[in-house]
Amino acid sequence: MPKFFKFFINNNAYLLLLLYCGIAGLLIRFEDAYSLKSLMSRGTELRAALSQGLSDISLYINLKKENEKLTLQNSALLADVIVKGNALRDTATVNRAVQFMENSPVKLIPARVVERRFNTRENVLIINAGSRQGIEKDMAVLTPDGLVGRVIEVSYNYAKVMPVIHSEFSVSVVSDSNNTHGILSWNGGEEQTAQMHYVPLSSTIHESEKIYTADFSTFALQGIPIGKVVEVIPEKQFYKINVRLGVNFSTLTYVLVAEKTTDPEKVELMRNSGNDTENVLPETGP
Amino acid sequence: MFKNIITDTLLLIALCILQQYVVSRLVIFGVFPDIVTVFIAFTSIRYGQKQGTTYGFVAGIATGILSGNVGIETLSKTIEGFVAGYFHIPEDSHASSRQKKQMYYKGVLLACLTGRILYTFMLNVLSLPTTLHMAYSIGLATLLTMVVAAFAYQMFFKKIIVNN
Repeated sequence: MPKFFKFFINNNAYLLLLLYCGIAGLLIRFEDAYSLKSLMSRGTELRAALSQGLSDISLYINLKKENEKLTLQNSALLADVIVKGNALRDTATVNRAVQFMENSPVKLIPARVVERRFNTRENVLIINAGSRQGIEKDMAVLTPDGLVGRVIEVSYNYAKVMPVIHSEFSVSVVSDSNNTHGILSWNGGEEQTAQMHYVPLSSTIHESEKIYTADFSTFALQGIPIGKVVEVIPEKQFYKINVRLGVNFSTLTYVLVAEKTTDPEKVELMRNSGNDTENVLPETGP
Repeated sequence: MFKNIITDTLLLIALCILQQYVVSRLVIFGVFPDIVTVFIAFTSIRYGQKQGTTYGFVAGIATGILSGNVGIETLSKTIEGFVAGYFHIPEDSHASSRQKKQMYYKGVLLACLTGRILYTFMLNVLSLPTTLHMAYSIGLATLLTMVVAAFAYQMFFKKIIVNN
């Protein structure tokens, strides 16, 4: 028997071929047999696993390209969102301003803030309405949320506005509940907080009280909202009052300019009286 | 020798996997090259007809399990190994490198043609395509395989065959 195998292995390639072909033939014949099917199914599983692995590798290789594609898509979508968001916000702001204008007895001129400088104590806004639109110096600038500032310089199409958060700005104000009067100005500190001065300790004022412009103002209409009292600190003669401003200057886009209603004769008279109040302070502005 | 058998067997199995998952996806005009056939023919030319036939048989089983046609693959690959064995270059051969190169190419060409013809006929035993289509697929597949064989010869087999 070993001799036969030795002969078979060493000398006869035809017999080897015959053997292998026979096995192949049997495999073809019994391809549907259970054991072979089971072997094949394991092969399929192996194939699927390898295929999965290869797919993962190709996926990993293509990841950079895919990421670049997604980044591009993302930036396009982000640009779209920004444009649409701006449009929505603008529409909402314009709608509020229009509603406010319709309900206001005073003539209001709408304008858009085209330039701002909020990095120093001398903050300045520039609006896209000037003398052509009827803007004059010393007009009050406001939004439905409150007073923004005062026009200090006018060109043909633009106007420069000194905002409430300017170190030289001041305005006569009054509290709504106790009717306490004072002068509002900004000390160059927090952007959203201004200070109400010259409120004697004999006056009554509480936190959360709303502050409006007073009738004494030389430029602003009476009753323009300013903000809310957030802190009342008694000092020697007067209270030190911090007021949270109603206008958010960092998001300011559209404003309304109120036509001047103050009698020039009154302004002249008050200027000559030399009071250390709003009547003098605004006039010293840039 | 034993070390060579182990290395070649492992390489053969790796090539079977590569053939199934990578090369079979490189379809050019409906056909793809067969790197397993090139390797079977090479082993047969290098070691002899019996070894080549055995490598063909092992490769056929491995490829068959992966592809799903175990019987047909085994038969065609076994015959490929056997046919290429006719071009075996013995170790003590005095043939020139040019003659050895010719033997290699002839071995691969004949093995590939035989294998493709057998495979195509057996796989399409019930639904035979037109003769022209069969000739096209066999011819183009053989051509692509020969391109791979030429590349493999220049890159890997030349040194082995010439120094054999």
